Amino acid sequence: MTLKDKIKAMLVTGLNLPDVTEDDIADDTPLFGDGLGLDSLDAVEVVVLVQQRFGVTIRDMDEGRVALRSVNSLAEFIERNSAQ
Amino acid sequence: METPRRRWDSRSLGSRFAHGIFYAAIRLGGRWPAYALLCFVVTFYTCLPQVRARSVAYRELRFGPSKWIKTWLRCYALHMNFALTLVDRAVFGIRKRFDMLAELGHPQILRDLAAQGRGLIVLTAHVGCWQLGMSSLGDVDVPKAVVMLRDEADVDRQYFEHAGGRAPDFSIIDPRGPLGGMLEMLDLLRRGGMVCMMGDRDFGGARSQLAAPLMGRTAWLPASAYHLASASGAPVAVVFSRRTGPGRGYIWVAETLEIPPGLGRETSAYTPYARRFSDALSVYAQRWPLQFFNFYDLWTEPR
Repeated sequence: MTLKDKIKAMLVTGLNLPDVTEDDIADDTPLFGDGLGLDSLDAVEVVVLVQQRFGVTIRDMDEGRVALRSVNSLAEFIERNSAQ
Repeated sequence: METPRRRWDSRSLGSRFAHGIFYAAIRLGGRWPAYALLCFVVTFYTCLPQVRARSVAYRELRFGPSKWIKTWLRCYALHMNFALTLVDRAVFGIRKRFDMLAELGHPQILRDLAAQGRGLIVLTAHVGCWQLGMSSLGDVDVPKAVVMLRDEADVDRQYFEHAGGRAPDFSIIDPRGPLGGMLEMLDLLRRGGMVCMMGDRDFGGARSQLAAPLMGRTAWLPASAYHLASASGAPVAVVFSRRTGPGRGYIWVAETLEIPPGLGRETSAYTPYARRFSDALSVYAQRWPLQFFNFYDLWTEPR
């Protein structure tokens, strides 16, 4: 299972998204707004899930804005920060 | 015709010039000339149906039907009380004078909660002299932020925005910022800080609100504080204040909430905690009905 697959599984199961499967989420689908349709309350949940499942902390808004764009950006962020 | 309105914005009723007259009166003569001016200003605005309409949902629910003169006078009293708190806020900003007393032992409750290092969410409402509430939380020695919406057309200054005014010891988080400012709030809470936010007005869509009984009818209240508390592990202190006289207020902790971690994204999971907030707010409205300043309709279901 690749990191991106793990992220998709985290989003679907961790957020308990109705009617969404991992296959429905493309790597570059925007997580918020028109893409996956997550909102600001979900952002908090995603930050907590990323910390719990990958041991990586999204510390502030600047990091979060970049990391939470898509599965691609989240995977890059996790890879970069788990290596440190 | 008074039609309740669901939408709210932070635009001031008066112009920048009109506010300037009040600020000048306060600089020259203190609070009493400004209070005197309010008699004319409040009478004028209370005569406007569109202004009275802002509080009609609350007034009808809280007071029930009454003759038009009683309705008008009640509306005038509500507007006057609100205007007095705005003058007090300006006096505090310009002349640094306001006495906020706290219920005995309640500041210690906040200090003890903050000392646990889990962060602290102070949840308040548009009642009493809430705008000065944060000024009295200075002795809770952690980084602080206030979630505050500032509209371009909001010309009524916060107390710390007056020239020479005391710099606030808190930062401001804009709820219209990226992701509603939620990540900034979460970050501050994780660092053991305090976030002060409103529990009775939301700017998001239907999913960010939850239903809770307020004064006997279902109201729609923001869910974000409870989500944040569950995600961060921070306790929630429900803090209310009331104006007790010229330049005087009183503040207390009405309720403390411990929200279990991991309740997730389903907003209905937070309903029991919102109910405790709405119960406390209902008690407030029962005891001090003319200090309830949420001038819009909380009881219409959001789309």
